[in-house]
Amino acid sequence: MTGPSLRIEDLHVSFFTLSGKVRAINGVSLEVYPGEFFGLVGETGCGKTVTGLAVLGLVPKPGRVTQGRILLKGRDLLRLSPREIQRVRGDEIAMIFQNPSTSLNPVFTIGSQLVRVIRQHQGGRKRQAEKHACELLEAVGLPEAERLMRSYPHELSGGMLQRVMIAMALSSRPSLLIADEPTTALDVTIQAQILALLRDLQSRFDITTLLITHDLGIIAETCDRIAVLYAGQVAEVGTTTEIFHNPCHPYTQGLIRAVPRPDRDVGRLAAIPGTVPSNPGFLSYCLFAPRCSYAWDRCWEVQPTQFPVGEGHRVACFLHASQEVRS
Amino acid sequence: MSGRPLLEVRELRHHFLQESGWLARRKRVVRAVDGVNLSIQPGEVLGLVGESGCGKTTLGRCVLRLVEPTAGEVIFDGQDLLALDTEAMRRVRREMQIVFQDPLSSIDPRFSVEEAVAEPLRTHTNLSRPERREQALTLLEDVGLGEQHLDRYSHELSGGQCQRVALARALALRPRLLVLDEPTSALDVSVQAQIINLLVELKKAYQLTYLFISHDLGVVRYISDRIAVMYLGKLVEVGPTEAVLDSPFHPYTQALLASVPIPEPRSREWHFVLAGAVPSPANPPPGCRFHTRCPSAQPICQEQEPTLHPVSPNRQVACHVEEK
Repeated sequence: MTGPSLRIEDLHVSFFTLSGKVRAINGVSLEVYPGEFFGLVGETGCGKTVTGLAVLGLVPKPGRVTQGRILLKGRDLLRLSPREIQRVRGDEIAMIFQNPSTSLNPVFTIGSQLVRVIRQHQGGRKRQAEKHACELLEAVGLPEAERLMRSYPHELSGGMLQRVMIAMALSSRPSLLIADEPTTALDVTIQAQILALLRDLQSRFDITTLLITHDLGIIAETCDRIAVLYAGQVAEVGTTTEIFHNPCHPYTQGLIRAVPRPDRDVGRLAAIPGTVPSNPGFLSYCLFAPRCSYAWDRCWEVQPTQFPVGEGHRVACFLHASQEVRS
Repeated sequence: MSGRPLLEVRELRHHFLQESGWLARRKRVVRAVDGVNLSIQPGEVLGLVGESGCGKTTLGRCVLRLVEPTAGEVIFDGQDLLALDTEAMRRVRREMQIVFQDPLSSIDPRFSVEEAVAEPLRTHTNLSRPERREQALTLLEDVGLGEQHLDRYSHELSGGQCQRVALARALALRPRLLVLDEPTSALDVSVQAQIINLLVELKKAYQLTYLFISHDLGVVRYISDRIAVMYLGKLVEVGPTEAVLDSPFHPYTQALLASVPIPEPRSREWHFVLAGAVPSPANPPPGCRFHTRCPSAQPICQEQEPTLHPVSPNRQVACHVEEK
């Protein structure tokens, strides 16, 4: 395997609100390899969206990256000037969001918005850009591209809008696509279409995809490797098969057992007691310890680092640490 | 099935006018619920599933007359609700309550938890204030909260806690039927599991009957005894949950099941994807409403609308193709 196309090192993001500093991300490190479909999974507030935004330099105010490095093919994105990062956005990294209907301007046609994005990044004549836009719409599986170019966003369904957003994201052939809950606002049958499209594009255009979701089912069916986030930290990272068949972090185990399945009967659902800590950055113990049934003294003394449990499978839990670290 | 159903819905329709165009001159009839028949036995959980816009929420609200049905009958415990006047309906409402999807917006932000939970007691009973507080506390304890929550406000609670308060309020008058409209959709999985387990416990403790409306087949499988699948205002398949989900008859049920991602890596190499989107309920396709997306549609499907008919004991399907 070659070097990672995206490498996040010890990322910290805090929000400086009027009522104090809220640490949203507390040392996230991960690598995404070229051509990979990587999943970032976690519950509300775990920092998965902020991680995606940080990669694009789009952490909203009053938030700020306070520490860490984000390397895209070896280049630190956090050290780029606003003008340089602007060029990386769209050219090299593109992002699609949860709600496609709010991502498009309602008063312009689909065509004019697509053409504008294409010319912004690639220049060229309007004619050429229009032709390119039509090709993109066809590439994402939208029929009658020419008619669609003249439509307004409100004339399209949610699934079609998300396809338009994907077309727009692909316009300058980015090497990395960040998809933040791209199907959460859609119905399951439409969701299946969009996920199939994303997988298809990844293999057809060799796009590295970072999929952010809360849905373990989506992760399991689409991703090659995943990182489970909890309270702004990576609880566990590994291949999808490893994590689902051999989950090592008590949180991952709990999460998998908490999902009711349509295809088979499960016993009583295993709920994880308690709730996520509200401002975890100030805590010095394992952030999951208050909800963990295995927690012992060690977990309340220091935070665990990541311990290897298998090929590329790492877990931030003392249960899997060597004997001397455990005590 | 035997005995008198607790709730029976017959040929229920809810159409509403959608106005559009210049000065709302263009009017279209949206058939949100278009001739639905179903029944729920006492103590049963009926899961009503379908995608957004299929009319499942409207159906749930019609049952409580929160929206007035256009036609049909809603029979609760032998009594036709649509024939009742306001006063009589108010009395019946004690026995049927609803819990909504978004727990935060269904609780008045100016009410303390105590006031929210005790409000039904204030309007429907003659209990004194201390008695109501005592009852509110008992209810809160039943849903896993405690005395420390009595004087809090909804914005101080998490989503899961809010949903517990909404449940406590719904249980205050000891109803027999609860309509649960996507009660866990706004919650994270770990909290969703807590609420679902709670719903199972409450059903036993309070001897409840649930109409459980959801788009999540996993949740429905876990909690429901029977399942009804809805598409564009009509039921397409009804039957015992496991039978329907393990061997679905209707092509729509099959497609729905195939589309749900399963938390099992590489569980399906080949992913059956249903093409197209749901047509508008203002202008449903003629014949079978699903024929525009159906992989096994026949010529007859475009002309004749299939009716829900029994295919095996306890199971009903509305499909021409399945008949052969």
